[in-house]
Amino acid sequence: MSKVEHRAYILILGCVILWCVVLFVPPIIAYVEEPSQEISHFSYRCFSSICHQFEMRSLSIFGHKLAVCARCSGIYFGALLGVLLYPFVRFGKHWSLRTLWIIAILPMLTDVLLNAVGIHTSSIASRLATGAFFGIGCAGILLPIAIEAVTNLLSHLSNQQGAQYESET
Amino acid sequence: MNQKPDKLIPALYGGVIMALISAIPFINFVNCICCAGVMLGGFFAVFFYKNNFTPDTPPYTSGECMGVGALAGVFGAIIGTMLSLVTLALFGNITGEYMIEMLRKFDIPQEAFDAMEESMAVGMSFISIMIQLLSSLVIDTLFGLLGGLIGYSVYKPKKSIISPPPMPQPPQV
Repeated sequence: MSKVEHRAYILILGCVILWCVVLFVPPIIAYVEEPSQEISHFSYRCFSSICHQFEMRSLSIFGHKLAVCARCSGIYFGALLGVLLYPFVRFGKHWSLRTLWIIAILPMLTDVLLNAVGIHTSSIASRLATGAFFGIGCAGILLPIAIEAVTNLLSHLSNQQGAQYESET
Repeated sequence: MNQKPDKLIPALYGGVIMALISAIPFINFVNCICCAGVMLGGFFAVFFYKNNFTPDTPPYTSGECMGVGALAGVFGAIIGTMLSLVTLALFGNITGEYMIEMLRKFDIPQEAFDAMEESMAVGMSFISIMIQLLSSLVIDTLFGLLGGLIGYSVYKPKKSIISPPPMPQPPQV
């Protein structure tokens, strides 16, 4: 990794960590402002557009559900793990993108479909595990492209700053 | 070489798709799968953007696709908030009511239902609209950006093989 790529990686890692931390904010607010739920109600609503937020399908902290369900939490924490592992492990380097997407989504899809058909009942653990697998896969597939994109952006910005400095001096 | 095409119109198209998926009742269930509808909007924005390229224009980069996806997210959040207010005024919160009816089949205590109904009661106050708009702006931009990156990974321009210039012939004596 070049210096700019390393900077791009750190920036992306920071964003993913921030997103994962934000998921804990609504339950912490709910815990702090108990028994009133006015502020936490609004903070949960901020995430209602991206997840069903059913209590029985969510992980809890301090007796309050996280901002998103167990499967979504698995995806986001898996993505964080994938981003953390990226400098050490590269998944499926020689596989096509389509194969990688299929491998990443297959366990989660199987869990959902078998539950829908009634063959197997999804548990919090299975939702979390299959979601995390998908999250790690997503990070493995999208991170190189994201690093390339952010590197382009950072180089473009530094070029612009350089040109501005030259024109000023 | 021609200049690169405008990003605004493809982003607007992507934003409209995003807004329609997010605001139409029942179709907005798609967003429960990790914001799939929002990502689809970002993806389509990149699709429309790459359609404007001709062989004369320089190829699009991942940074541009990320930008187009994020811009689609901004449009999607603004249009989506307006559209969802319209659908809310016309039909009420029918999606929320349907979800509660669906959950009644399960063995859930009445208190949990009351809490759910309370949390699903969507207000039309200025503060609640602003909160919805701000949260949509953050979430849609973020997931639109991801959709843009997925779009780039699918429609990545193939690197053209540049043939090396012919070797100069040694002078004949």
